[in-house]
Amino acid sequence: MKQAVTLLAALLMTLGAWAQGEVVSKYFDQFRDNEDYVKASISSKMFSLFTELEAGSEEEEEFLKAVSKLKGMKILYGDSVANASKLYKTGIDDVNKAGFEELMTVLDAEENFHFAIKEKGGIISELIMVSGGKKGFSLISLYGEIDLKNISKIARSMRVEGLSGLDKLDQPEN
Amino acid sequence: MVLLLGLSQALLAQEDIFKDYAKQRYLQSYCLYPSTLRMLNLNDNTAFDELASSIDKLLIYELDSVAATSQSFDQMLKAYREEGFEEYVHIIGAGQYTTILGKESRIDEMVGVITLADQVLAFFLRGNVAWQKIPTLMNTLQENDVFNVLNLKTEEWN
Repeated sequence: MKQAVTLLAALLMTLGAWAQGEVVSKYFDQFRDNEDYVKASISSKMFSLFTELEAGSEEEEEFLKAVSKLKGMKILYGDSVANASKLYKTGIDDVNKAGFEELMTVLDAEENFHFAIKEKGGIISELIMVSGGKKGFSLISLYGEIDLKNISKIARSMRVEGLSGLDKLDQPEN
Repeated sequence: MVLLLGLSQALLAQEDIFKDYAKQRYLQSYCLYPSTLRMLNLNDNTAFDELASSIDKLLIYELDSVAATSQSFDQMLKAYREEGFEEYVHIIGAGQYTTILGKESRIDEMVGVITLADQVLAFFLRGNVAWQKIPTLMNTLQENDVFNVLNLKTEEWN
């Protein structure tokens, strides 16, 4: 009986890990051969490099704390795509259908941002950002154990194109 | 002593896969050690020096146009996967291609191919890199702080 429970738990954990990032994966498949979109994946192996490092300053400690708990990141973005605003709406629908809760929406003249999370037992296991403007569309999924306080700091620190929208998490809701 | 010798040979074997491929398809090559990396730090950025000191060796090869169009580097990356290297980063689309593979051991190793607007770069890195320095580096590094060795062309030396 104990073995069966352990096996079931392991199976559920595997399925849970597989399910993470599935919304973005669907878009990766949809735009696989479309050169207008950049598709980026950062695996858990990359983030595991940060787990045994020693911080030398408060800034490094915050960075390591946030990054070492991440299990992966997937980014899809296109800065000159057809139907960007339609994709933005479809993206939000898909995120909602996948069981995410809305965290924040930022409406801007140039670009709109929608943030949603999957949370269980007070732990955020996935954060999704959908953004869309007149020409640009992006979808970012971060999974693992997410610390919202530090996530915008990571985005700022890394200065990665496509992650700049995560800065909005530091700003008051519109 | 025997263990050290065994480890050195294993590390060299990993590097050879990279060199065997890159030496057939390169325009420029750079072999950088902590001392040479620190020499590129024109304005003595502390975070850059700390990051450089944690790298044992960095090989960078600028690949030729045939490598870019044929994507022959896929075979080299496949050989590393067979050696137990796992995918860290993969970026594709809009003219971009980046794959970085890595293997964690006593001394970490990474190998990758990065396409830029007008260059295709392949690299092999060995060392237990101080990744925690990156945010400090990004926040403190100013334009022209680091000499861009990749802009060096052979003809400039003639």
